[in-house]
Amino acid sequence: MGRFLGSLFSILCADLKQAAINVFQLCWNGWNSFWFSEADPTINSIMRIFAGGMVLYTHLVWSIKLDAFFGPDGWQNVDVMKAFQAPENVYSFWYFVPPEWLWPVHIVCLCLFAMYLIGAATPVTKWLVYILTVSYAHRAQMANFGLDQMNAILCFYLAIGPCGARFSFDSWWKKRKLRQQGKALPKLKKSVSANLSMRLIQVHLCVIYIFAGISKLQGELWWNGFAVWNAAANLEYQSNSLLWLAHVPWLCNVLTLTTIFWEISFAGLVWNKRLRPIVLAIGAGMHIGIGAFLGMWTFGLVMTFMYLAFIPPDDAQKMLAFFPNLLRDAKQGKRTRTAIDSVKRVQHLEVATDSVRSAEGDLSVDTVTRHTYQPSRRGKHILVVSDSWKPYQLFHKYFHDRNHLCLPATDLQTAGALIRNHDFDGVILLKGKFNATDFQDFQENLRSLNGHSPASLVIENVNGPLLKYVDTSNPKHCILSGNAKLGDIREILFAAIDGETATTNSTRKTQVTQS
Amino acid sequence: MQEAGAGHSEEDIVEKVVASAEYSGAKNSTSLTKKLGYVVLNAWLMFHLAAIFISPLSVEPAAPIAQNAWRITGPYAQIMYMNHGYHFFAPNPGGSMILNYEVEHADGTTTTGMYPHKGIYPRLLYHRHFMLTEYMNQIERFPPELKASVYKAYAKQICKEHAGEKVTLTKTYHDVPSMERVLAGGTLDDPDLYFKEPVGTYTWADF
Repeated sequence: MGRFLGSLFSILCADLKQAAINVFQLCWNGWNSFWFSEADPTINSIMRIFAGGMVLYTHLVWSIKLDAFFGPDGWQNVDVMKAFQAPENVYSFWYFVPPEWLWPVHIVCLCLFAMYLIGAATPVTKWLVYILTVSYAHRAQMANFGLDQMNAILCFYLAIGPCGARFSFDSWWKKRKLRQQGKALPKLKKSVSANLSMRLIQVHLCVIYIFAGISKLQGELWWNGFAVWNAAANLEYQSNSLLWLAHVPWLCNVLTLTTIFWEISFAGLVWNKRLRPIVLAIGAGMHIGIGAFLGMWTFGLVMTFMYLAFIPPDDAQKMLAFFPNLLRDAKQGKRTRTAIDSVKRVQHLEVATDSVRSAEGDLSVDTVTRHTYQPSRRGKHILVVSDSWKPYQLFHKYFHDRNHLCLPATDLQTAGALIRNHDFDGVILLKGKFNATDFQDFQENLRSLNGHSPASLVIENVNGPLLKYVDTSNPKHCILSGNAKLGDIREILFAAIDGETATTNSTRKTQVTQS
Repeated sequence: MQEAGAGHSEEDIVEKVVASAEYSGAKNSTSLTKKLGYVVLNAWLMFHLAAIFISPLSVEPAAPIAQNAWRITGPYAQIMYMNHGYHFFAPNPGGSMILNYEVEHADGTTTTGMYPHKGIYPRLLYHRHFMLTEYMNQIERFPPELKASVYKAYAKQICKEHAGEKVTLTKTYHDVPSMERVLAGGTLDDPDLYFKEPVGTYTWADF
């Protein structure tokens, strides 16, 4: 009995230990993928423009009363400020600037803010702008408010990421030089720092709102529903009269309680993909309302700029693609037709592919693809070779949702024909019940294709640990075995398409073998 | 991925093996640096997150544990200018502080005015002046000498701006009218909503 209980206890302990390890691993993987995934720097770059505009404006306004606010004998006397800030760990270069140098230094700072806005020398200016913003804020501490806090937060987090990678003077200059040298333009690099920077903004916004919400719970007016009235009836804040609110007290109650509930729930609801647009729209409405009626436009705008961090990089690309298309279509006067045409094109190709599959050679693949499909290329073009339709349906939904084109081939012959006649970026091969020799030959043929050959990813088994094998002599071809998620497959395939040998975060174990 | 093909010459294979060895050696050294960087980055990230969370948590009234934690993260948050409470319009939105002044010029004439006033443009500059006067609430908690120095600096600036010889400052609290009062015909600037408190009279000799 004792031995039995002993062995039961050891089994339980082992299970508990394993469960703890699993939970830890799950958390660690979650932490890693949240903070250290790679992301496109498009949003960082867009946010840099908004942040740059705001910091430039903020500091340009100081110019009107520079001596009064930054002079040694102004509102904030140097000695008074030093005495006041003595116990704090604050710094500002302004304390070392002699009065006669006040204006030249301010002008240099404004130039740096302008450089940041246009994205010139961004690797340096982004950090300088953060240091300058903090220096101005610390020197003029008595005249600070939320705007200065948000400016500093935004500039710091944007400095962590590659915020000058796009829409900047730097990127324009780099492209110009490459064009002059006749070199190909490099693809936009995804980076961990771009993701980290956006994640920090997201998390910081959650902290801001949760404390803004719970701090209000201490106040009676926020409980009885009349806090909005008190803010609206403050003559010094008011920029537009809100006295009409006195006739609709229920609206004051609704606005007050909505503000509280929204601020407290923001940190939870904003992570839900479906609720996110609603949560952010309410926030933008609130800040724009504060801007319009309480005159704090700058603060309202900078808070709304921070919301951009919640836009997924893929959606940002889609939004950006919309603008050039809109301009081009407006020129040609066929805005609607193009949208319909592009849908039809994809449908034609899918129908054509089905025809090829059913006709088994009666219909020339060459003729079908060349005559019915002249795509304006958007996203990646992926071919899924599988003897079963089920995996294709999964892949099709997954890639289609991400604005990529995904086509099927249920036999190797059709797959070969499609690859020869269409410019695919990648091929996903599922071994399934294909003949082993035919499958091997197909892979060999794929590797030996001349010119533009698609990257290939062979998925062998679906059970066991995830392993990735990369052909070091040609990193475009990989083999994946194990229980891979669609996201893992996409990452590995896209890395292969881009010719990257680096392992992805989602790849838990990688084996690299020599060809 | 596959074994070396039959078509490969011995030289090719040797070259590839050497290249592979160099690649793995370089990879080992970079992976060590990467690992170290990863550990440092994670440590900073956790500390930073703690700092931005503890800053508003330690705003009074705060739990002793939050105040103790602030002693660790506070200096970092202050240097980074992330030491904010985010207590916007909390606990209750109240009235505002105004600084009234009366400047006496050398010719005996006087100028009166107040900060902030709606003539200050753009709105951001108006808000800067508004924050200066709102700061008078915090000044009350300062030691008396520091409090006096702040008002003296305000007085000197006003004297400079208006080319005056003497300035008298008055601190005014402007209360917010109730909804019922407005419905009964009250306005936002009814005189009884202003509560005045003299600060002092300053001449250039005081500066």
